[in-house]
Amino acid sequence: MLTVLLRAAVLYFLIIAAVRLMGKRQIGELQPSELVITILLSNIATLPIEDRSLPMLTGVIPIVTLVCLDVFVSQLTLRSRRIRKLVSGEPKMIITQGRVNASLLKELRFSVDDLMEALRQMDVFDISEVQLAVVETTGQVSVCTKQDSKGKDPPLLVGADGELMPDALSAIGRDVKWARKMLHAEGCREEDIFIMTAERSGAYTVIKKEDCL
Amino acid sequence: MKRLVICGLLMAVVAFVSLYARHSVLDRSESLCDMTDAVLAAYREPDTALARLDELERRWSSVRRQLGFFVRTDRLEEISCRVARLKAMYTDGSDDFAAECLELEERLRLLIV
Repeated sequence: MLTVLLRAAVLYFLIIAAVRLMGKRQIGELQPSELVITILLSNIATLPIEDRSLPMLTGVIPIVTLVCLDVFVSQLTLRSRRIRKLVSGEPKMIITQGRVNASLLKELRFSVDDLMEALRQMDVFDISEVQLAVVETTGQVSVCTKQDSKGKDPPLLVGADGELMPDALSAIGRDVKWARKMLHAEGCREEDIFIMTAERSGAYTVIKKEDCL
Repeated sequence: MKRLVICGLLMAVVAFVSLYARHSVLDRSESLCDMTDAVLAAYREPDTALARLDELERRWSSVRRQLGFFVRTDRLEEISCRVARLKAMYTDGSDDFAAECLELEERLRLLIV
C-alpha cells in the first residue's frame, strides 16, 4: 500500500509539472494533438500506480517523452504555417455569405443536426440569420450573424507571419497578385506581414511585424 | 525558448536513462547467464558445483534490486524462485537440474525483451 501511495504522489507531481511545461489551455480548447497527449498521459500515469510489478520508470519515461515531443511539435507549428496546418488542421467556413457549404459539411462529417446544434449553442436559432460560420481547429463553431456583420462577411485572415494565404484570398474572390499590390501600396513587403485581413469588398488591414510590441 | 531548453535537457536525460537501462539489463543478464552455464558445466563435480551455485545466488541477490528499476518485478520474482530452487535440486540429485538451469538461462535472456 505504501508503494502505491508513494507512486501516486510522485506521478501526481510529475503530471502537474508536465501540464505546466506544456502550458495547456482549457480542455475545451485543446487542439487534436493536445487532446491525444492528454488522453495518453492520463492513461500512462495510472499504469504504474495500479500495477505494482511495473517499474516506476515505465510510467515516467513515456510521460516525459510525450510532453517533450508535444513542446517540440508546438514550437515547430509556431514557426511554420505548413506544419501547423498538418498538425492542427485549419478553420473551415461551413457558411459563407449566408449560404451553407454542403460538400464541406460532408467532408467534415458534420450532419445538419450537428450544425443546428452548434448554432443553437451560439444562441442562433434561425439559420437564415447566419452570415458566416466557421468550424475552428478545436471543433468549436464560431458564428457571425447578418445583424452583427450588416449583411457582409467579416474580414478574413489572408496573410500571417510573412506568408500570404491563397486559399483564404480565393474565398473572398481575390488572389495573391491583388494582395501583393495592396502590400506594395502600403510600402510593405510580404515577409514583413504579421497579420493581414481582407474582405470581399476589397477593404483590408495590414499589421506589420515592426508595429508589434 | 526556456521551455524548449528544459525539454531538450529532459529528452537527453530520458535517452541516457533508456540507454543505461538497456545496457545495464543486458550486461547483468549476460553475466548471470554465464554463471548459470558455469553451474551446468560443473554439474558432475560436487565441490565446484556447490561453490558456483552459491556464487550465482549471491550475484543474483545483489543484481535483483538494481534490475527492479527497469524490469517488471513479477519476472524478477520468477527468476528468484528458480535460483532458490537450484541448490535444493542439486543436493537432492534431481534429474531435472540441468533442465532447470537451461530454463533459468532462458528467463535471464528474456529480461532484455
